[in-house]
Amino acid sequence: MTLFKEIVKQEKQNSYVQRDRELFSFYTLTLIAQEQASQKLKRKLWACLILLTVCLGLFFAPINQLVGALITYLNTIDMMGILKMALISYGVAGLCLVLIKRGKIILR
Amino acid sequence: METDEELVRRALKGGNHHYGVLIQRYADYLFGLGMRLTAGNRELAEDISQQSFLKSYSYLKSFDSRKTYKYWLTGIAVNCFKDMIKKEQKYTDLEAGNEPSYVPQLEGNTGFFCLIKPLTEDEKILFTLKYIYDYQVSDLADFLDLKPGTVKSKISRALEKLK
Repeated sequence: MTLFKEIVKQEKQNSYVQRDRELFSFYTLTLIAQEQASQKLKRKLWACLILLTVCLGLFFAPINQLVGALITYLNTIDMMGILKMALISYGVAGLCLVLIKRGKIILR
Repeated sequence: METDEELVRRALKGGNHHYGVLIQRYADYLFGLGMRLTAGNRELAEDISQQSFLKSYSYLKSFDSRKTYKYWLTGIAVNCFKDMIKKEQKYTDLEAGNEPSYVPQLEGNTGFFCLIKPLTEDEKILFTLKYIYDYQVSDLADFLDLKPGTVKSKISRALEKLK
């Protein structure tokens, strides 16, 4: 056991030095920069691919038909009907909130 | 002199040269740890230290400043060493036949390297970190993702082997 302790003690005093610390640091930083650049390039390529797909989709889509359908749909919308529906739905939502709050008070 | 935490914060803001200071600060420490774990294999030790710095940079955002940077880096280096051993085992499983193989030159205190030779990889890590770097059992458990009881039993098994 004394030999074991002696070896450990000797090893503790031993110090190891990197061959060229500055060069090592520079090289590691270069690798980091390389990795960052490749990630940026990948992100850009993905963005380009998505943009290209969207552009191609729009290019091949029957735009005139779509615009026409949209305009006819907008013409058929009844504004008074929408307002009535909005009023009714907000009213129901408010009523529900009041009921829930009262229910909580009763449960307490 | 800037603290490690300050340098980490600055590196995260986009100043890679601040990370360079951290590399220079801990290059020898990680190299020494690598040399001890690989029993004096300089090339492997350099690889471990470089991989540790690269990994540390990519996970820098998750650095918990409640612990020291050196402690965090040690954990990363231990994992890098384990990964390298796994990779090496994967390749040595193949039949090498009569092909010439590369024999690494070993350097350093051969007494210590001979001492830890009969130990398994996990035992080497635990033994080195406990007896050379004076880490606590709880730290070792944290590094190797083990329970403190398992760490204690592994260390005592390692000591039995060394007797």
